[in-house]
Amino acid sequence: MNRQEIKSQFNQCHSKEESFRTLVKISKTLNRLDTDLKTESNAVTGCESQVWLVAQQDTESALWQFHADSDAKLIRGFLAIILAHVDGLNSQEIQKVNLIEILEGLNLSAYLTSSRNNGIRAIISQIQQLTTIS
Amino acid sequence: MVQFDPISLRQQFPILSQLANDHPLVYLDNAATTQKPESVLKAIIDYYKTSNANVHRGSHFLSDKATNLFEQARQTVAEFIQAPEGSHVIWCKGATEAINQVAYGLEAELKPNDEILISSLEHHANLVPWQQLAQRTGAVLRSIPFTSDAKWEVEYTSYFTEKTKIFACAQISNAIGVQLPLKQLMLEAKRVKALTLIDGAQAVAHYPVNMAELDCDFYVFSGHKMYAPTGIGVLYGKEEALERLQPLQTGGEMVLKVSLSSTEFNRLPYRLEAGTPNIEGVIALASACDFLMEQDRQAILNWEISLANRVRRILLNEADIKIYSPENSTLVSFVVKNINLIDLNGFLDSKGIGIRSGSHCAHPLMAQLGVNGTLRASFACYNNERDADHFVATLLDAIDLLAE
Repeated sequence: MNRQEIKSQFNQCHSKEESFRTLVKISKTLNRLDTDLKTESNAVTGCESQVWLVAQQDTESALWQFHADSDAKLIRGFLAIILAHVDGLNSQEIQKVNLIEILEGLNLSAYLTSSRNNGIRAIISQIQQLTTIS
Repeated sequence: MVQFDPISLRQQFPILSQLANDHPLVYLDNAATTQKPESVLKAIIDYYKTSNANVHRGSHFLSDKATNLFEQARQTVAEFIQAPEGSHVIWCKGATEAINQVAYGLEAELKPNDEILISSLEHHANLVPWQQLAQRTGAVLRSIPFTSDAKWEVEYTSYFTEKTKIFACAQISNAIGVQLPLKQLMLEAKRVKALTLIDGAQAVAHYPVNMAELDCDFYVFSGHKMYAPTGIGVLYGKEEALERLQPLQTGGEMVLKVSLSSTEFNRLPYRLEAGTPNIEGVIALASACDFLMEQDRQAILNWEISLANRVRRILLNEADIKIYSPENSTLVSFVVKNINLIDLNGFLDSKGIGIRSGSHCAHPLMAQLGVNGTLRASFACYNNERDADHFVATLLDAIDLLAE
């Protein structure tokens, strides 16, 4: 699902319940990770649910490819949104993407305040750390 | 005594009459914290409007007024827990601080290889302070394994030996609502002359407690789980047990005489209450005790249990649901096969239902049950059948939506 489609899906949501249902719907578009990639080293720490993130940078183009998964549909919904905004970009471009603002723009702020439980902020900071230009 | 009427009782809790995510709020996270009745809120406001001053210090009109309220509150709490003596009621932030005070306070008495005994159902608050105490002193922390229905997994008497110096356990498990067999446990602990601590955090809102009957050395609880504010709780102890405690904190209020090189500590209860206390909290806690003592507590308990059983009966028929809490508890703790707790919680929240999902600060118990966590719907006096039914209906909708 691309950014525009995500935006229009959430624009139609007028309650937390509708947003939740949309997150669950979007979660189905996320490609699941192979079990052998669900390792401790790929795990995002700071999440109460289990979340895995695999990032690969193409050596020639320097563009990033992300694969991510979680055992919670809600989190997979967020991962689908997040990856749609950073997949296929280079490090400079990713650093400029304000994922928090994007999620707030989709009226998902309520989920960010409970981030201690769901770890969405941890996922975002992991992506930013991985793509920090040293 | 006020005759129990669920409608008028609920009306005393103004927070409940609001919408949550466009739905009528259903609050079922009472084992985490309870809402506060008008009378408790009024006690806080009245205190600041009419009596605010520091206690035990000045001798002026307001200081006398505040000190009187503050010391009366000890008597009210003593009456609430049926304790003989108000001076054995020590104010603290909550059950966690109370347990830390006891664990720290007994440090000088423990030698390497002495044993501290707890149960496997404990909240981290009644585990970590003992574990850390054991690490500091070379003592050994042991845990009596319970099955989830609190049947003894082992011949428990063998856990109590002459090495057992402290036995600490919950009255009721916060995670799965199981009641511990306190009578037998206290007898065993006494047989080996261990000091005993009961964590009453999950009990006091539901069950009348009686210190003479329980006959433990220390009893602790938090105000906020029994309709009082956060930041106030009680360490009750027998006099000789309290006298054995080194103060966790030192400073103002708890001293008699100070020179640069030494301090003479005050008598009980002040010796264990350093600093300006949470006066507002103390007064509000007394008000919450009054609120409960005015009620028909047996009728309220029956009501809370009937609501939990109402939920339980329906969940028992769902093949994918496994319930860990026993019948006739005031809470229902369960998991749904193959559906993540966060997802279930998220959907319930979107429908205005507040429950708790997770490990409930009881990692060892969750490991013993073989789960990462459970969903817990916990009831209080103001909940009603609508809350229970809306919760169950929404949970079943969530399962439909979230099943693969």
